Amino acid sequence: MATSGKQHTRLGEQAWNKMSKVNAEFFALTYGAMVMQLVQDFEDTAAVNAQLDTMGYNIGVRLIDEFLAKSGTGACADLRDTAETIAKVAFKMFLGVVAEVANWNADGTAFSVVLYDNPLIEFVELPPQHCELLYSNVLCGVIRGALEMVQMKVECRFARDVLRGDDLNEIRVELKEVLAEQMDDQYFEGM
Amino acid sequence: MIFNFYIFNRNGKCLFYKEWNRPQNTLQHDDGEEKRLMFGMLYSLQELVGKMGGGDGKGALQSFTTDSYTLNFFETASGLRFVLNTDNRAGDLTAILRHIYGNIFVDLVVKHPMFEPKAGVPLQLPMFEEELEKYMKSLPCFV
Amino acid sequence: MASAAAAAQSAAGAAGAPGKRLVNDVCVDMLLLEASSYLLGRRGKPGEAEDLEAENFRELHHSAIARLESLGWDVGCRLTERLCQTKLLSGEPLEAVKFICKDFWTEVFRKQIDKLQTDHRGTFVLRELNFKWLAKYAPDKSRTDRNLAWFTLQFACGLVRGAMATLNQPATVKADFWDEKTDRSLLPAVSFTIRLKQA
Repeated sequence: MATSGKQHTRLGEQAWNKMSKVNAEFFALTYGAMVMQLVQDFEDTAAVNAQLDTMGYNIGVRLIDEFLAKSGTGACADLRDTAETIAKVAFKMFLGVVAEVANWNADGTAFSVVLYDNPLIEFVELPPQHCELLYSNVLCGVIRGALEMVQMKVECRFARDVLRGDDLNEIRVELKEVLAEQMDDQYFEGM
Repeated sequence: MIFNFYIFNRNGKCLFYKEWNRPQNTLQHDDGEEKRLMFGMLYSLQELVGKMGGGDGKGALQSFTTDSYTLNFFETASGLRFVLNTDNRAGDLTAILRHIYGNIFVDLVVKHPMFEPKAGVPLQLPMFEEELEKYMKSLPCFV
Repeated sequence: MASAAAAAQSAAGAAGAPGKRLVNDVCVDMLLLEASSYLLGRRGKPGEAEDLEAENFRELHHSAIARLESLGWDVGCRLTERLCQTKLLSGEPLEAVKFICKDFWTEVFRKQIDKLQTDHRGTFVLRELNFKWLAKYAPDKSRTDRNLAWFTLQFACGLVRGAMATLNQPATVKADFWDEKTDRSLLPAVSFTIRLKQA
């Protein structure tokens, strides 16, 4: 495990070094402006959270190809490999930060991605009336969308959030199903 | 010489087809049928290759050659399948398929709002076609 | 605009010094793509009919266009506030425009604007020779691409207008990549025209 962890870290750094980059501040401000727009559009905080998750999902189903093509990682061997790849390679390659994998459940189907340093929230404080807002929920959607494209159906939620007073950010990822290859209906005509 | 090029999604929908040289075409009347046959063949072949090799077959099939053409194949973990048919003198084109995926497809298709990764709708993205065309024609094995 | 989240954001923002942290370019690409799709009603809620290849795209989607521009405006204001914490400007319009061409543009695109022209009567034309957000579009060959490229540019117009407003130079900003004479796209080159309001 230790060696494989190191290997992931190295891959993450290599990928990050190759990428063309932009100021994180500009990115965080743009994200913040979008969240504000959603807060204005939906009265209900739960609806904003759901919308952020959906937008993340739409990003994730695209981002997976950017990731596969440019990170130099192949198909993951198992869920542990997947977890390390998300935390050490994907977070590093896209956001420039490394996350940790923690809190595996007993049967090895659920884990947490722990993020000490979240570039999305650099300038953000939640006012009391929005204390239920999952400001960075887009990240859950991205993970869910990206994994679905590699045939893993997962549930993803923010378990701890620095903006809501926790000491770190924790995204809980639970594997629900490994999807089978499914051919389009046209292949079953006349069979 | 490069003959033609396909991109399929995981479910076998043909997202893109382009033909440069095709000395012989017995399926001219029904290109939907041809795409279906092509994907069906690759699917079965991959399964067979996998079973014979003892693994899941992922990445095992890279190319095969008949007396009149070579089929080059590259599948991504996200289920995209890139297929490039050439004559038998073109050499190993795995790196070329990877380049198309990593540098042309990812930048001009994946980042285009009209591409819907889950929908399997044929691509109509002129910038992608233009860059693909330019790249193909730059290859020594093109003609 | 005076949303609670906004107030909190600028309050917290005032505390930190501008850092030079970086993220992958593609993060901004994806965010803009998804925000655009949302505003254009391609993802439910702000339900406008999707007709991205229409000749009258600008009429059909006027509210999405205004909202994307105002998103840019918001970011332009905040980014300028933060950048100017360490920089004093004299209040001359030309100096504000130069600030946008150099400091501001570098912050967003990691390069300066390629060319600045002015008529010295309150109009400035900024030319960017390689505007990277629009690399995927072929406006000459697709009406949809032409509309989407123009739409994306409204965010950049908002950025510039917000920056000018924050520097006490209220202005209108428009952007174009179409050469009317030859009826062809100039991409990847884009020009921004800033007109001062009091001029």
